[in-house]
Amino acid sequence: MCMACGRKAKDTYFLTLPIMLMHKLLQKGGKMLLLGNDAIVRGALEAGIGFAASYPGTPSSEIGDTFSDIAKEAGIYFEWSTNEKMATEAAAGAAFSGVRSMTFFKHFGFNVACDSVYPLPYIGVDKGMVLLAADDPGGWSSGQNEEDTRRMIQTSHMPYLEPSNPQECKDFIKLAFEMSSRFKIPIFLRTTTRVNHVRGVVKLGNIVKGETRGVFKKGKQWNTMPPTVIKVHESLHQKLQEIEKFSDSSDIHLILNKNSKSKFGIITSGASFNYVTEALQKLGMQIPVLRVGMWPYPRGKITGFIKGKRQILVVEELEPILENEVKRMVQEHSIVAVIHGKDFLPVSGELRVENVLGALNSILHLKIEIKKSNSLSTPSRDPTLCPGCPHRASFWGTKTAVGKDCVFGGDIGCYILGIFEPIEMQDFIVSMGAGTGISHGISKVSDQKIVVFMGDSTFFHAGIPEIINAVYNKSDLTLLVLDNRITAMTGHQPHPGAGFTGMRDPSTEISIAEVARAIGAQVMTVNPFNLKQLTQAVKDMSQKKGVKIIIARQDCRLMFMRNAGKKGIKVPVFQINQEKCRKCDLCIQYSCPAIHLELKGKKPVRYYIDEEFCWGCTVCSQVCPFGAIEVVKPKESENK
Amino acid sequence: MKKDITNIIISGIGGQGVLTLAVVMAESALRQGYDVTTAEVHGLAMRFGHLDVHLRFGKKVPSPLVPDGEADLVIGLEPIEALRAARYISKDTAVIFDTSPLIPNKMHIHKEQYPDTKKVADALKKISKSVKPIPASDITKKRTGSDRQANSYLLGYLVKSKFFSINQKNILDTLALLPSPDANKQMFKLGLQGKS
Repeated sequence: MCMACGRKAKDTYFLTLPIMLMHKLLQKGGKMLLLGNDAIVRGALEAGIGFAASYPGTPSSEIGDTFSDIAKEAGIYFEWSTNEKMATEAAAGAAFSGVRSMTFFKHFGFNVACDSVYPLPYIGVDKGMVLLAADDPGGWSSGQNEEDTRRMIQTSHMPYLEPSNPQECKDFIKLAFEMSSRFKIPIFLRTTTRVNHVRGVVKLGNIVKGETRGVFKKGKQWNTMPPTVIKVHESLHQKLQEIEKFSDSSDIHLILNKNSKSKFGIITSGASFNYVTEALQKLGMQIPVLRVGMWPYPRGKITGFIKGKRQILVVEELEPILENEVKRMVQEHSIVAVIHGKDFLPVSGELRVENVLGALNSILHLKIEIKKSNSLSTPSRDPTLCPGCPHRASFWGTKTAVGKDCVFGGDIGCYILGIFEPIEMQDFIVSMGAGTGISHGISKVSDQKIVVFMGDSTFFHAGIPEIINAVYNKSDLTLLVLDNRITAMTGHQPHPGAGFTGMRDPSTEISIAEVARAIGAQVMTVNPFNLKQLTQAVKDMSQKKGVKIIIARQDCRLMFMRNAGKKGIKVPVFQINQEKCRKCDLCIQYSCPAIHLELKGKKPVRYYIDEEFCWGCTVCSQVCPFGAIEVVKPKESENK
Repeated sequence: MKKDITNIIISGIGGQGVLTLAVVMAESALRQGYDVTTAEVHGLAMRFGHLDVHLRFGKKVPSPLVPDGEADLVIGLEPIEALRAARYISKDTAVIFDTSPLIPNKMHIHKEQYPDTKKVADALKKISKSVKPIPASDITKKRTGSDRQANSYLLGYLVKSKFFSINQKNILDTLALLPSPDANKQMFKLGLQGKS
């Protein structure tokens, strides 16, 4: 039984996806409509994977959700590790013991994992290990930077494969495992949001039951201490040259319109290939296209493609990485051709077919009409915390206790949404755990009052060393650990405080309070649904010196409501009593999506609750100073 | 529709079933023998934010994103979210939207008036010849006590009005996979009859 969703292992339905086709992911043959991320899991199963580990990060999160869903049935091991570095190490340990393994993360996760990722190719693997980095051009799920991990993977000396669609997600990961065992080196898959989160028709192959047990054999290969490391470094470069030859002979690279006599050609990779294909269809032009599928790039194929052409356009998202390599090859092979790329295409944001058409217009002096996009004046809609979210209560109570001028350290999790109006209590957001580290730095140079917010999953992921540093180096700050018992933002994955694992087995809950106390912080646990208690705690603790930790503990309301629905638990529903309402507007300032306002012109005439959205947290009734928010549907009491 | 590829944008708010509707439509189109793609947004959008899904089907779909101004159909699951999809709308785009509003808190904070159905429809009519507001949530709520199956009603309406040219059987077989198949099928059939 899964403790997050109450789902039995054999239930048909999937935890997070709206349509529940997961039970079919293990079917034999045929074709299926699969999300890129699900196709990745299927490909890993067809490659005989035995072990997978990850920490959730969108756009890669659903890979783990799906592994978690099918691991038992498929007879493999999957874990949600405490962070990406840990996940990489776990997968490496399995690979060191002869079990095919995989780890995956979003680009920020790659940054966390780097310390353990970079030495891996020096050591090598035998039976196959694949890593996956999912970039997010356009920042659909990433607020801190728009990173291109291809350059980082190149720095690691590991080859990477770049699928363009869900079918290739499945096929490329199989090839990645084959290459990994053949060349004794871990292989990367590099994807982007428009590959991970694109659904497409995928033709399935056969699932291979992978080994899940292995043996670690002692030997010299595990040790790369100098001077060995220097020799291994050199041999890695030789290995990459060997893989470049393999790349050149591989049919992973596609050529379109090969026989065209055009003196102009396009070189592209990944999701960009789709926009190139569509642009050429629109034009009805037979322009030759080389879609490269892996790095090391196929030197022979690229130079052969360019020879005889006058101009090349390199189409890729984000940094000019393929473009620069093509320019280098052209120079090394003394080919005379003009290489275009970022001179006509953006380095930021995701590409669209319109970008490709625009570049072709400029380079080929075409007059293709690109439709001007319409726009209509539309009120903006920021993403917001769910109705009944305990974080909203924590923000409200904290603001009441310390005022809005206090410095508010922000971090990564649902509470990042506290950046928006009217909460505005995330003054800076850098990386997992950094809210505390940066606040510590501020506390060392400034006398300002500081309150930091950190999630429960973030506490385990990166928070503990941050708190140790703050305590040991005598920082002065108050930290609210917003403990909603789950990794909520990425879709309710368990963490070490949740009490169950990625295999959906029960495990010992690690107590945040006990860890924090052991570090030497002053610790208090409160229920954010008790607004008075939370506000008082922040008021008291923020007046003390040193590192104070308030654990605001209350289940993620979305998770709670899903479980409540399954178990038949009813929650109270609130409404605003019009006779008691003095139209003070505080409930609107509280910003719960269930609370609304009727206007006559600019003048509020009625405050009310959309009962469909009221999730019964009770907090708005505590916010109202006039006792006007009352239970209208008293039902069996909910748990607190 | 005469073109090789049918382009659909579903625009709504996280939690409204945008992804579910997209996947039901995609799966139905696949059952009809088409090549199908969707481009989705996961994550942040779960939290009551705007999200749109691109759904394309036909003989062979070249890329998953609908180019600007090239949607055949825009489905707004909420009035102002239909407005937000304007970039995909041209005069030939059929636009239908659910008339039930979800007013952003920010408008309340700034005491801004949410535009009524007529105002939204009039704005959309400036760029599209075919704009149809449908009170799907209201009808569904009246029938079932909740608006959870409103998208199935909309889907029925789309099939009836030939905006989504997929056989009923393929859609019903797909709806059968949902957690509440009967309720969804019932609202789909009501939508097909255009009944309230």
